[in-house]
Amino acid sequence: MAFSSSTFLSDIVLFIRNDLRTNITDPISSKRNSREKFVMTAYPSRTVQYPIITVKNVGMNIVNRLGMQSEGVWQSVVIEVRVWARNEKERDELTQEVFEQFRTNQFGTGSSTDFELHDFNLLSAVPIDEDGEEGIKSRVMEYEYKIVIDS
Amino acid sequence: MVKVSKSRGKGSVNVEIQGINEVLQRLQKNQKRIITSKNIELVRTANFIQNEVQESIIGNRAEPKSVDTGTLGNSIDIKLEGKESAVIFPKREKYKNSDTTTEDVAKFMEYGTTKMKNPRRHFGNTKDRNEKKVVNKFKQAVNLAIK
Repeated sequence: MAFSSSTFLSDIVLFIRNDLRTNITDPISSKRNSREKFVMTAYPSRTVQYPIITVKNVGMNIVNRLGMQSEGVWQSVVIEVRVWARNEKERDELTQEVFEQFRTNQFGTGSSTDFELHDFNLLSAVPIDEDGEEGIKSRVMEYEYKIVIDS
Repeated sequence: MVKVSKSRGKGSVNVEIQGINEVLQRLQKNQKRIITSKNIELVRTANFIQNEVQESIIGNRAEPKSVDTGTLGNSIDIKLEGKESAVIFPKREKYKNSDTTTEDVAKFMEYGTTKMKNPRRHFGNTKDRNEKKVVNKFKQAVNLAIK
């Protein structure tokens, strides 16, 4: 198992954050403040330079128990990946890049399945556009993965 | 009922299954009952979830509540889609003296914005709280229908 059963939620969020950090190009990488990150695991509490991507766990539930006398479970984990961009074009481009990264990184070494995240599924992708030209345009994607916790 | 008797022939047995028509009639009757019961339960459940979302918005559940929420709470509506699903959604209504609609506000509340970092997740929390209850309600409805 690539994650620990006692820290699986944070392990999964960090795996996804690192996957995006490594594979999605920051459109303003040359201008971004060195203390700021392009992909982070919480909504920013201080002023940041957009675009950014946030990764959070927003839900989980047990799909099945692994047997009457087993403490193991087949579980679903929902991860929210939110793209915060300066305009609709940038929002949609980053959304596509994130989706493509997850879709094409399901199998093989270093993939989601290699990390024991199975059954990749995009549950929803909702646009949240704040008013005005200066308003940040974001899209909230909810991805579901299935995991086995049995140790 | 299965009736087994010796046949007149050598080394063979007659098997006669009785009551097949009665079983088929019973199954047909059950099928109708299950469909009716499922349709009724769908509407009941949709009403239940609508009510739960409204309770979440006005702060009667142990989760973040919204403030000044009459318009949003009252806009939560039900739409039946075919015979298999019901959608609980904020009906599009404009706020007084503003271009903002209840649809926009529901999305802002659900997911947060750059200015509101703590989303209320009224719909998501309602789903998480009630998903298993809803499955059980349908199981009970089917069980009652075939009793």
